[in-house]
Amino acid sequence: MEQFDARQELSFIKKVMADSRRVTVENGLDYIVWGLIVALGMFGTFALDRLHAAEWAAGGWIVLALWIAVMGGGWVFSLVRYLRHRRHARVHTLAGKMLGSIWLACGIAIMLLVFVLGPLGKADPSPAIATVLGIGFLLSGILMDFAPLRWASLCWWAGAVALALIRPVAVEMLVFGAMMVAFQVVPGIILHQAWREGAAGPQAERP
Amino acid sequence: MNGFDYTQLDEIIHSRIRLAIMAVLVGVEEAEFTFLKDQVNTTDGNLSIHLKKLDEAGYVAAHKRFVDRKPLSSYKLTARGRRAFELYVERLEGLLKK
Repeated sequence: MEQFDARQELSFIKKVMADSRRVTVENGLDYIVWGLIVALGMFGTFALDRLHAAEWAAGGWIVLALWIAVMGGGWVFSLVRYLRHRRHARVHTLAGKMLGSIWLACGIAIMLLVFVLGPLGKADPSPAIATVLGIGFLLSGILMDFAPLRWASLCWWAGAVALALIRPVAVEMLVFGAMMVAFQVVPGIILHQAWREGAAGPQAERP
Repeated sequence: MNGFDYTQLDEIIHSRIRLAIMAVLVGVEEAEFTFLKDQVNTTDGNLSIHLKKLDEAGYVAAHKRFVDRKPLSSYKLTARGRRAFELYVERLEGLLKK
């Protein structure tokens, strides 16, 4: 009888912890939206190359404007989500704070690569960005205890090597766009489905 | 000692609602009253009474603030509360091993 009660008590504790974890889980929306935004930029860059934008008057500026628009849109999306969360979130977790910090650091590193180090010729942006994304995905996958994100990190690092070898740059953009969909949007959708089913184990704090 | 001594179980935690509150808070950094209410599935009054007991025991800490002129109460587990919860679970597991 005593053993039965103790088992019930432990089951109850586990159930309550699992239920609250299901509510605080990362829902994958950031991965999906950012993945689609960046893929749009990559495919757009490829399309502009095929349309010989470089030969137009201000053709180079159009590519830059495209990237400022897509990245700016992404940051606005993230900022709105962050502000809404800060104001309305009913629960905060340490894992959520760490996830936010990891992706903020990755985002800043990517911005530096796209707008500073790349244009100055100090780094090959695409492989470097893929490497940074691999780090972000591995840490997120470990923090959330979610295998598809950990697998995605390996794909990103393998992709970084491939991107370093692919030429011309326009094709590199096309491949990078496809990688964004395969290694970011798809894991994001899997995470979103797991969140809906309450099966995932991450303890993040995004709504 | 052959049997399990129930007095070893923390009486403050050994209540369904207080145990549920502790189990929710152990997995998060901070949770608002309404979140706890949803997770624990109880009434405002009942939750308040149990939170007060946990607060008095030093197991949870309350943080009150205003958002859009509405009062919001958040709760977090204290170090003492976390240790008490861990000890409670350890003793339950010990009971199962007997």
